[in-house]
Amino acid sequence: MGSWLGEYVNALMGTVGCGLAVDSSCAAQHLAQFAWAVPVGVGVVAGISLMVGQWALLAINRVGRWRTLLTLVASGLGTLLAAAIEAALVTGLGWLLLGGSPRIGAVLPSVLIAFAPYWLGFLVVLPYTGPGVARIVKVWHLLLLWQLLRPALGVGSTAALAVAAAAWLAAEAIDVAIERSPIRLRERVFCLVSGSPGLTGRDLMASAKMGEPR
Amino acid sequence: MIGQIVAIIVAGLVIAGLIAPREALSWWRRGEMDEPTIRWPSLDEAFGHPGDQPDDAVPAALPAEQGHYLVYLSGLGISGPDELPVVEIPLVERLAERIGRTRVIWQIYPYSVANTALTQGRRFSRVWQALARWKFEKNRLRALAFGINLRNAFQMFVSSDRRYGPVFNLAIADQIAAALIRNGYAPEHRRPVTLLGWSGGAQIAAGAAWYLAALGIPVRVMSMAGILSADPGLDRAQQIWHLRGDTDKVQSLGVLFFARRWPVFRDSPWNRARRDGRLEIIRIGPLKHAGKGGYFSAAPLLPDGREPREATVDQIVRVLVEAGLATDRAAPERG
Repeated sequence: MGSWLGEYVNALMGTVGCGLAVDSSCAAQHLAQFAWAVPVGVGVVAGISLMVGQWALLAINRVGRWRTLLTLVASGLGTLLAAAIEAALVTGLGWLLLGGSPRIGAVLPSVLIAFAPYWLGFLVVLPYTGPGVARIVKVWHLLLLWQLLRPALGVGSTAALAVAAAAWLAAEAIDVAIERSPIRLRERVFCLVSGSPGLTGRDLMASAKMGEPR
Repeated sequence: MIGQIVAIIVAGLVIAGLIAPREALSWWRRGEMDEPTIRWPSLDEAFGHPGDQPDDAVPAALPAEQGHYLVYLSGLGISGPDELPVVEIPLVERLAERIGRTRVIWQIYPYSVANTALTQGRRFSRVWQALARWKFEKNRLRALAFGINLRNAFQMFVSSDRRYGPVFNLAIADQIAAALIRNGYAPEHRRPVTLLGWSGGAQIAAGAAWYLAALGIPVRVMSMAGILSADPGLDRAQQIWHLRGDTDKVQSLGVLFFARRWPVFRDSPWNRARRDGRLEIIRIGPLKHAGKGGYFSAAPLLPDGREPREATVDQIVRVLVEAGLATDRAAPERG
């Protein structure tokens, strides 16, 4: 069991290392050993790291230890869901733009590994530079997705870029639509899981109304 | 070898950055503010200290109320609320002597949410004590004292960050409110308060202005060579003065670092204040940011024969007098 775990962690770290270096062939070597376990691990840790990057939200809402743990796990699982949606978009757009019939099961591991740059999501905690780091990581994800889709879809560089960019843009659009619309799904899930009112810094400022001493 | 040194420095900076928001977020998490808003502290609270430190006794009589309060928020070199950096003392003392109808308050450490000195009551107090000591010793370790500036710079970035700033600036505003009470400020009279922020202190001033205005204070911000963002707090400042020396490149970093000050962001608080005529940029002669020829220096003399720090004081006093906030005690003797 111990050696299996060691080998798994090695494969996970190796895959992420290859991913951060945007080296698709290297990442594929590690994949062969553990199949789904490695891509799923990459996605879950990426989601946890992203939530760590949003530490301010947890702190402002004074989320307790167990709820914090639950929120981190939920974020990890949420990333799996986001990857599944992106894989579905890649499959659909691949069919639309390239013809053929790519299978979601073949694409999903590549999409999950493309979340490797989000392991650095915890760096979003950095004051002032954090939001910039978030943007860099997003673009890094796109670059890796592009490289990984070439072998996954069996297409050339330009075709893979077209599908990756279209899927990435569509995923971003869905994210914005969900977040900025009245649905505010992520916010609702956060409130539910963390057991908090979902306060943000903006709410703190808004509550200090002008010239209303107490 | 050089690569390794660079890697260590970068790693150190990243770690310092990652832990920088911790103090403000922990302060908020501890729930020292039971509601997410600001209120005037009671007398006991104003003379209280955080944690296990014994509180100061509330004096039988508070200082007499003044018509105007000038709160000086020091630059990145400060390490506690009880002692200003040596170079800043003559200027602040001169301000206190010269500005009439005004109480000058400087006993605030603007880079700590609880006004706690780096050198006291902290896990690494001894390290900070050593760094603070080395600052004034001529030895090889002196350069390490820059760690204090670096630590404070990260707190300045925390203040300017939209995620952490609302918490950090709330805590600092709370400290300023307590300092005002200790200095005889009567909340019901709503006397004007000017926050004078030097360098990084200007960002803290801008951030705190939001909450101080919520207390009903007519608040103004004076940035003395400030490195400040287009903080939302500027929206609530009745007037903003940005004083800068002609040869000061460091204050220009504020424009470089904080993109929302760029003219393209027309609706940012900085550009809005400019458009509304609430923001005035005032040049105060051929002054540098620090060192000889800097705002606090005594030499070299300026072409008009004044010490650089005298020129700085002259400008601050002039601005306050013209705004009708204070008087210049030196004016009669100057004829």
